[in-house]
Amino acid sequence: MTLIQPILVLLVALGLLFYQLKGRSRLLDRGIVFSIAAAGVILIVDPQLSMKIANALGVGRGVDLVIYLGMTGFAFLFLLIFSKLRALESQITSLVRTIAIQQAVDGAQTQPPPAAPAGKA
Amino acid sequence: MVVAERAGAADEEAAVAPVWVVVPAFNEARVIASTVAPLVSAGYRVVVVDDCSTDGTWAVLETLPVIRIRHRLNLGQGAALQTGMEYARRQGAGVVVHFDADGQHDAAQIPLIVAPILAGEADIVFGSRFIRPHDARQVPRSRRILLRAGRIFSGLMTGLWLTDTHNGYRALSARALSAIRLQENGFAHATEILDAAGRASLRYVEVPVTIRYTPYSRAKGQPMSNAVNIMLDLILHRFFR
Repeated sequence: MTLIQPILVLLVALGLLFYQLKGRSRLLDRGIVFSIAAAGVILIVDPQLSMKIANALGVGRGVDLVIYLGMTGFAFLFLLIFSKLRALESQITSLVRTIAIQQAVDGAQTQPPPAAPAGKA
Repeated sequence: MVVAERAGAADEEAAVAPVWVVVPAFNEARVIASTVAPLVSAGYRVVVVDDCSTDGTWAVLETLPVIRIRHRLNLGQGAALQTGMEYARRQGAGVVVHFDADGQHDAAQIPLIVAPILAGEADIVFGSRFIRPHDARQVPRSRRILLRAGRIFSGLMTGLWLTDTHNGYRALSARALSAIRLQENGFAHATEILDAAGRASLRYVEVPVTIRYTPYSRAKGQPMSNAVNIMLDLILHRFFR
């Protein structure tokens, strides 16, 4: 066992701990995150395993396989966050719009007093 | 300002069909008063949506005889238009005109642009700079090339082939108003409107308009580089809605 292995295992364990403490708590989410962490630990402890899987899939090195999977994982995560952001943006928009319309002021009716009270909260 | 006169004109207008003019404004304190003055004196119901300006636009609006609506956050032109349309729709507007705050649009052309709707011939009217050669010549050359490209892109995306897809001067009927909900807060709304019009099979026509390119409007206008952002917004819109 090389020095990097316990360090990596520790990092994965910390990540998992952090997630379980602070993250979302839906059972499915927990399951997914836990199995990803478990797979990570197994691959760290037994690097030959990823090599075997990689060879079976026709990928040269085990590390390459992990990188490929990691890349697609990140791409997927990025899209997920992006669509979440858009949903959030549209929620904010409708909130701002509702407030704006509620507080609309008809200047044609409150005129002429030039220093008309700004009809806002 | 001339309140009595204005009210009289508004009553006259209301007898025909209330025409509402929605003016989205972001940092237009310098020009907003002169932009809305001809609209007010023509008797239109004017709704100015201040998209969270930081230059005192709201303070100027407080002195004007218009309906003022303020976004508490800056959301973009598309969002401001949608807010104005939503308000007008709830007030029972029959016709809504989109009008730029920066002085590019000529208030005298509103009767032309709403005519097809009042005549019951169309639900949505698009202003176009490319119907009459002398309007097209007003458009700076670099803009012209970009707009041509935008036309092709919009055509491919929506299946509606207009001569000038990115013209902010438009009129919508009550039917169009209830069929269109802009979700693109930024500038991609121009293509989104076409898309919605196509989906709801709204009847549309194009009407020639003259757009004034002033140094102010050109400075305020969209930088060319934004075309890429708009395109990206549109493509993403396709996949994330």
